[in-house]
Amino acid sequence: MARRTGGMPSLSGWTALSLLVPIGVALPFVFLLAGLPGGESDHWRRVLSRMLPTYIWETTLVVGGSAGLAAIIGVALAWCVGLHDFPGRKAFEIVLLLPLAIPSYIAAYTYDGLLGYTGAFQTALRNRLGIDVNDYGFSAPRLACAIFIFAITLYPYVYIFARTYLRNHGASMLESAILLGGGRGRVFFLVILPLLRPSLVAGGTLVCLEVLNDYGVTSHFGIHTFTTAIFAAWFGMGEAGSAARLALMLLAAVLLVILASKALQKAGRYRLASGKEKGSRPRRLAGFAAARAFSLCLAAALVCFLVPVGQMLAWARLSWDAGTVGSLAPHLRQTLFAAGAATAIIMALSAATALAGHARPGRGSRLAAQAASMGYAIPAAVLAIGAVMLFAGIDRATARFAPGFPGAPLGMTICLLLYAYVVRFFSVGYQAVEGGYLKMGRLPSEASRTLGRGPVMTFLLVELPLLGNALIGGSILVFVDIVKELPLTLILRPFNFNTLGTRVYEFANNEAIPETSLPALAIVVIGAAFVVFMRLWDKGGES
Amino acid sequence: MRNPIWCALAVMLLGVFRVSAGEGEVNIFTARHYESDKQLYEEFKKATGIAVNTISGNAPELIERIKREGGNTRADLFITVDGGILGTAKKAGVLQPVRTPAIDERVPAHLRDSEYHWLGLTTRCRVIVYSKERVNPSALSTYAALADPEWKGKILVRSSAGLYDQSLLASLIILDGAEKAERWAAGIAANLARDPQGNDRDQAKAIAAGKGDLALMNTYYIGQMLNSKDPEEVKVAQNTGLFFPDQDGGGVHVNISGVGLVKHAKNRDNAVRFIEFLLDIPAQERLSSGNYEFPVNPGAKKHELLKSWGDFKTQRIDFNRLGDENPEAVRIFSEVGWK
Repeated sequence: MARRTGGMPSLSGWTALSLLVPIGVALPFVFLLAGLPGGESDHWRRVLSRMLPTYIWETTLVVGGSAGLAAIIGVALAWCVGLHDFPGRKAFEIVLLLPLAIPSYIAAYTYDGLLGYTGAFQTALRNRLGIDVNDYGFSAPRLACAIFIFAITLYPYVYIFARTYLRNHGASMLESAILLGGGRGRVFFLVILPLLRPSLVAGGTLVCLEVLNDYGVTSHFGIHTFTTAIFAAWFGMGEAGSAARLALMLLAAVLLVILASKALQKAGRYRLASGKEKGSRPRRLAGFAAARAFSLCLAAALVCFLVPVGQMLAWARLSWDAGTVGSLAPHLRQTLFAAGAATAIIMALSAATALAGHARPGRGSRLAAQAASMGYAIPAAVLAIGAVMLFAGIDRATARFAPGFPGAPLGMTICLLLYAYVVRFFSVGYQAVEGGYLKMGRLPSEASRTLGRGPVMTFLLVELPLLGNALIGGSILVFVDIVKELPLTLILRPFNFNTLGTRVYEFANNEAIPETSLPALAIVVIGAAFVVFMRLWDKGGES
Repeated sequence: MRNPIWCALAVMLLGVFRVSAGEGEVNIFTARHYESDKQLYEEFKKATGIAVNTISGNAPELIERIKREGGNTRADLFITVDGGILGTAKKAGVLQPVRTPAIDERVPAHLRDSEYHWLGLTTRCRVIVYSKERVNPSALSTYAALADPEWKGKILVRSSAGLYDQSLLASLIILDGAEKAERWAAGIAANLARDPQGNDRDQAKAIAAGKGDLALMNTYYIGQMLNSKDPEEVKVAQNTGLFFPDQDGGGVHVNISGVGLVKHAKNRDNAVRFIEFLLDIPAQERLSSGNYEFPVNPGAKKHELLKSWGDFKTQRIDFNRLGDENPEAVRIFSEVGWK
């Protein structure tokens, strides 16, 4: 590719490539905003004026509470398994990642069922011991319930970052600080915690974004957030314009979270020797200290993964019959097909966008890629309707200019759903690839370019092999996210396209919770298998 | 295309784009996810050779999708629960009238749209459920009486985001006027045993747990709980009683599940055949026995459990108006603090 000289800004192929995804991500929102009416009815204005403070207050509480609790759990566990060695640590390292495989909404009604009046906990107390906990005022406030569910399903985002960091740097830091005369507790708060700030911010940001656009858990517990307000406005009151404006406010909140996270990350960056420090050895625990670390990890594994999965297994036994199991096969097939196809597209686009950004580094391409991350933070239903409007526009144009085009309308094919998946999960894949680039440094690419290879050959021959781990890791995260996805799938799927998630939804919608357990377990097993695979693969790459 | 890879890609793309088109099928957007419905789709295919393709989801989102797809939509039928939603679909302009002699014969006039934009399939009532242990049913009379101070701290409801209570309040607005309905909702909000939460079955469970004495619930959930695979759920249902209020006044709140022919339906004839099939006695009895709903076809037999509840008086209102009054109901809920 010929490079233009003279510093003239030009729209090269690279710039175009780096803009491709951001434009693709922005299109549904453009169609949405352009196609919606302004103004709102008197009724809705009155509801809004009364409810807006509640929306803001409960959104703040549930987002802040969930991120805070997830951070505490994530850091405590990372401290345990990242800096110490004790019997069972290796197993815990993997098990503590597994809550990633449980969709939050499934955890919500699983725990509700477990602890509710007809659940195993209360039933056992009542029928075996004659104790009715309700006589003692047993109840939990709905906000606390939601925060608990979000924290136990989302803490792995914090845990992953913090554990990796502590594994690589923590032990030597800890040793030096203790040698300098600090107690372990003081060292934790004065040395380790500040060092963990970047991982805390990165993980915490993901938790915030997940909670902000959640609908399943919040509506289950009757929490009033911006996302539930958008649903109420649009699908309850038919106030599409007002819903879009609420979505814009939500977007502002999201921007705020992202900006805050950027600022915090800049402020808290310490320069450390890069890579894993060789002398860094986790401290071996014995006796009481080992038992304490073991029981903390066991408690977390129980609460966050083993107990909910155990409840699902118990329900599966209750609702088991051969017919139901057999009927899950097409759901499983279609889930894997959609997730696989979308993951392939997303990773290809992520690699291309990252490549374009690095071939032509500049503020613009970086910014554009960040803008593309917005798809991750918008309530799925809003994105879904935007995508429907975009595809309807395309189909109208096709019908007009190319009548008889095979397969039209596009909006009734799987393309619509795949497109929406890409918009939503692009940033997950892209962040992984970017992380890979960061780890690789500029040296290999520059050496290759100096030796006369073009950017494409450099990418194929030098960068791609080095990015292998990042690409695999990113693919797995994207794949598991899509297997867990529900709202987009529900609205945008073509006829007779049923995933495991939509099957769970149908049963849950009929309030037949035990029956949800088989498809829910299938989701968890797929997710867990991939998470374990990622962990083992990563280990192989480390050594 | 010289390159075989491109050829293969093109073939794959065509495979993706292939839309099930044309004859021998009917395409349904449905917000009913009951297992009994799926069996009916199979039976229809066996009887007629017409395949039933479905997308299930939340009704308002399905309407929004049909609306945005416009003339391109592949939906032939829209099926949902709640008369207000059917009214909303009619108002959104996504439905068209459908009338045949069989439809006239099988659906009573008050259970279909006067212009035939939608037809009822089944009905369900929103009744008062009470603790058999702590409440004497003779103390119950009307929805209005639930707002009396004697029930302070005793009433259980789900979040007002739920359509069932929105339609109940809308029906009271239609029958008694907005002012009286607002006073009623405020009275209920003042009598709540706890913050509104959970689904319908959770309200019955809360009664069993002693958190409150009275709850509002749809009839078919009682049937499903009594026949649940979970023995604890069966116990809960057995310990709660069912009360049909307002028998000397406006009647118990009845809601409807119904079907409408989509305006741009591409398989009109098949769609009409499917509607007539759903309204015929065997399908109607299947819906009643499989899901504990009341059939609309007067010739269909009710399930034994429904029979055991006896005859009762139901509200007589135009279901479309539930949709018209929905925004007012939502406003009232937000103002009286029924969250």
